[in-house]
Amino acid sequence: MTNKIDAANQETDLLSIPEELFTFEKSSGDAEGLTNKPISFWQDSMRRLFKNYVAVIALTIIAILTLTSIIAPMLSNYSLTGRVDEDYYKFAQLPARVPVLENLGIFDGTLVKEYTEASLAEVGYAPDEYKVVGTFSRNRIEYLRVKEYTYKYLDIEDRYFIFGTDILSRDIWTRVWYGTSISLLIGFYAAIIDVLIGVIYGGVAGYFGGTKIDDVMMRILEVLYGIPSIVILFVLFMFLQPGIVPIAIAIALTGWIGVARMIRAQFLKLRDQEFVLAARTLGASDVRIIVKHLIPNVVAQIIVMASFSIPSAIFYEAFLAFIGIGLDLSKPSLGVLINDAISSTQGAMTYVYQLVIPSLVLSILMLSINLLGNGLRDALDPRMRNN
Amino acid sequence: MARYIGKRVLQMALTLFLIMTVLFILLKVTPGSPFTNPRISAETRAILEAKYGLDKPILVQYVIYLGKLAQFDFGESIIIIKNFPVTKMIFEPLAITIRLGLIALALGTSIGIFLGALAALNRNKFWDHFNTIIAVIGVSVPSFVIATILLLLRKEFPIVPIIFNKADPAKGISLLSEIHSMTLPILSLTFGVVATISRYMRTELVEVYNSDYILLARAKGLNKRQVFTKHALRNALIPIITVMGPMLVALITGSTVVERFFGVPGLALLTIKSINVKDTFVTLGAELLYSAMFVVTMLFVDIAYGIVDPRIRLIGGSKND
Amino acid sequence: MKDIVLSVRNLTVSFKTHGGLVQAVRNVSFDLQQGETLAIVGESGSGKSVTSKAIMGLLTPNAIIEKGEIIYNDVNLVTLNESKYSKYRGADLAMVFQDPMTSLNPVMTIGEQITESLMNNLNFTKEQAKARSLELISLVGIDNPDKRYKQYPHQFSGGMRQRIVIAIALSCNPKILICDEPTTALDVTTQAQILELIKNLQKQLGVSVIFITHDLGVVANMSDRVAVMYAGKIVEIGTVEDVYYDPKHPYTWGLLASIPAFQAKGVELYAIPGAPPQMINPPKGDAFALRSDWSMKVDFEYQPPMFKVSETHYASTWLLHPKAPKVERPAQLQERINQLMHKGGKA
Repeated sequence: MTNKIDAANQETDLLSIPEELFTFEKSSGDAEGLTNKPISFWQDSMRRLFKNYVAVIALTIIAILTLTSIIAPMLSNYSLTGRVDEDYYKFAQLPARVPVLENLGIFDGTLVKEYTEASLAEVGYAPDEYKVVGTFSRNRIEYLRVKEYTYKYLDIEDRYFIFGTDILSRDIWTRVWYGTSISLLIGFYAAIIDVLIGVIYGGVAGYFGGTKIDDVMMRILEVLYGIPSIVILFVLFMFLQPGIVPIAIAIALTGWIGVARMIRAQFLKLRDQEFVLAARTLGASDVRIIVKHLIPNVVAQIIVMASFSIPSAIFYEAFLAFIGIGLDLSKPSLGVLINDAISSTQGAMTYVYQLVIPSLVLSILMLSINLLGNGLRDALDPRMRNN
Repeated sequence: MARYIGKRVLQMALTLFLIMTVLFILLKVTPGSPFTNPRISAETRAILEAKYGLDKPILVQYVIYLGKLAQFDFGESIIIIKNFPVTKMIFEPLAITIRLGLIALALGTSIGIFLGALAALNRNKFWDHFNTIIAVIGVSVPSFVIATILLLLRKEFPIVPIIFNKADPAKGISLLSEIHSMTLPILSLTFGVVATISRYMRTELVEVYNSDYILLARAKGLNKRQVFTKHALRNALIPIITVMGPMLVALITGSTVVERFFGVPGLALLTIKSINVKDTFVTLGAELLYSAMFVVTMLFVDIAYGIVDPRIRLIGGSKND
Repeated sequence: MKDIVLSVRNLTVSFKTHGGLVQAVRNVSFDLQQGETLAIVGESGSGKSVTSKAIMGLLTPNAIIEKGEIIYNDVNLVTLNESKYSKYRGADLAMVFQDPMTSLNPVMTIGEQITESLMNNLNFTKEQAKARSLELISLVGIDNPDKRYKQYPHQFSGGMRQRIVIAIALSCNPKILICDEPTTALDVTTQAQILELIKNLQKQLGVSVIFITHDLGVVANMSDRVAVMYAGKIVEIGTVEDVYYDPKHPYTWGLLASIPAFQAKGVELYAIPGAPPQMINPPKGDAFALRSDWSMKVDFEYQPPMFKVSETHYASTWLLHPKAPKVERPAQLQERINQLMHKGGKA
């Protein structure tokens, strides 16, 4: 057996170990190995969150977008609905133009238009006001792709519109950021409302789980769950005045059921645990048990659910705006702006920036909030993580 | 099992009845009538309302409607097509919407399962990251933005038709060419399905691969392919069935956006139109159909789940939240 | 000496984790003889399960076999790729897992799960496989095999499921059966039945068994030889008599002293102080030195080699070094060992 050989081979070396090492010595180290200071759940969670660089980047982007959406409209020289200039025909549908960046070839105030040889001549560009960038043929007619230096052509080279202007010569920069703040507000309101309703409803049902109260409440929930949210929204919009809060309420009314189910399940689980039984034995009231013992144990899940509620509310609002119900043009959210841009540009490639800019802001916003939500979930409730 | 289904069907009928009642009352108490129009004088309006029975008390109208419903009659359209039965009016758009939804579901689920499995089997490699990116974009980018992107791409590469081409044997337009004309709407809807299903599939498969029974299957001497096809795949697919039902409903209701964007004359467009002109019975009929589809799909999902998962089949489908 | 069916040489396994490389198994060597039962005993994290999974080739993807050999039939299994390894599993090496509640596929019938193995490894036809499965179900002590064959795992109790897992493991007449804590998840009466079953089947079929457990009490009447593992190493190995009646390693002393059954009434149950070291940076010398009452300076400097006690008995502690001071086992433990010898005679 090899064990034998090992021992034999080492025999000589072993004997050379100095005698004095073979004296008893109590270990100096801590056998338990518990030297770290205990850290609280929240400290630990936050540490985990800030270690997650995706979540940190998402958080930064959200902060920047939120701040810009508040500050940009305030600092802007233009209003939400006002035209940027009295000569509104000239100032309609101007391309985006930003100082400095224009030298790099982006946001440089140019539009790519399509002309035939004849129609190009008709426009009468000065030689430095356009550049032919390509040709193509459609229905056997040859077309030219012409890059138009719009600001130069219109003789307004001293003006800059960061995101350009729309068909009614309104400043898109101002409108997009205003829209962002509206979308964010709706998201926050809706999340707060649906979490509030969900926690109260689910909490009561869960706390009284197994009794008649729970039974009735769950039956009601089942029926409500059987109604597609689009039907609820359609119906609500026949009643509600367009506005931020009514829309937030309507969206929340379709979203609270998920929260209620989750909270109920959690409460059912927690309710029978020893610390709750102990509190009850000591004579704590139902309200006290719910508020002091049960809710603190589900705060993490509530935060996670709320963080996913916000983008879904923003999405719903944009969806509603898109199908033509929801906010009116006096308080345009990003969804309203996108919808507006689709109908005013008719999908024309030349003016596609009017559609792309709000869509991009909306997508980035949703992306960031979702990624932050993922980060929060991983940090607060590692069990919910899906590998 | 039969008892369980019976109970569920009863519950379903009750839910639908409640929805119908609430919708009816809500639609009736909203201000305005189909004839609220400055061009229609008060007298004419009174005559018209009397003609359609809209002057009767709500309860009476409700009972009349119930009687009609019992004969599968959803009433008549007043504005959109005068005196046209709602049942007939809804049929065509519903068929289009369901076709759109089902094709997107089938396509999206197949691609999603494939991508999800690819990601789970190649964890932390290219396909896994690809899957994550698709999933995040899928939940973050609204379908109308995706529709816009597709439309812009289509402008550059006009390889698919863009005008909806309704199947009509009389004109020699086949179902296939209708589906072909819906390529862009289908793709817009498919993206979201792929994102959800692939994420789900990956999570499930990873979980299954971490389970003891996979270890036992390997300990039995099955090779990688046998472990995947005989054990992992089947167990991971079962939960996918539960997401497919809600997914189909979400597709059918969510097709609103693409219907509007691409001008597909589906049920959603009809519903919105009817709400705008207050064509009450059309609205009511459409929304009832939405609810019915939702409830029936959920029931089918539960039954299907019971069939593929023996644990539920034998217990008799008792659900614990 | 009997034939050696499996020989593990200097096996070293580490796991890549976020915190660093965890050295789960360090230089483990042992032989498994034909028809014997070798128990590997140790607390959680001692590396006993990892050793067994390494033999089966079922380590998780983040595990690295840093060095060592696992020799079966003159083949070093460590060098095999997955598809070649799978030919050994089931047919030559079989395994029973810890938790019977999760180790059967919930959506396949018991019959499918047993026949699958037979058809795959022994090329049985469906009918042959079914006939053999029914035999196996009876063999592991389950009544009504025809009915049971068609049922699903959730219709079985934990103990019954473990019987099925054993049936699957033994279905293809493997040479080696590894039982990884097969009774830990079961209640006490069921535990005894399952142990009895494994013992009987082992005698009946002559299969060599590696029995992983943390419970020295279970080992005593199950096995022929015992290996005690601590911090990824085998610290003592020998026949049951060697390890129970003449333990040499302070860790084995601690383990034996902490078996409740050994306790006389009114004596406080012994617990080894402290916790096992974390294996990302294992201690420089003897890993047990931190918790031992007999640690010497040398324990903190060098890892002890395997010292030979007798032909069958080896232990890895500096206390066996010729220069080490003579140490007696704690009197209380010795007294208990004497009682045990008196009561049980030879195990």
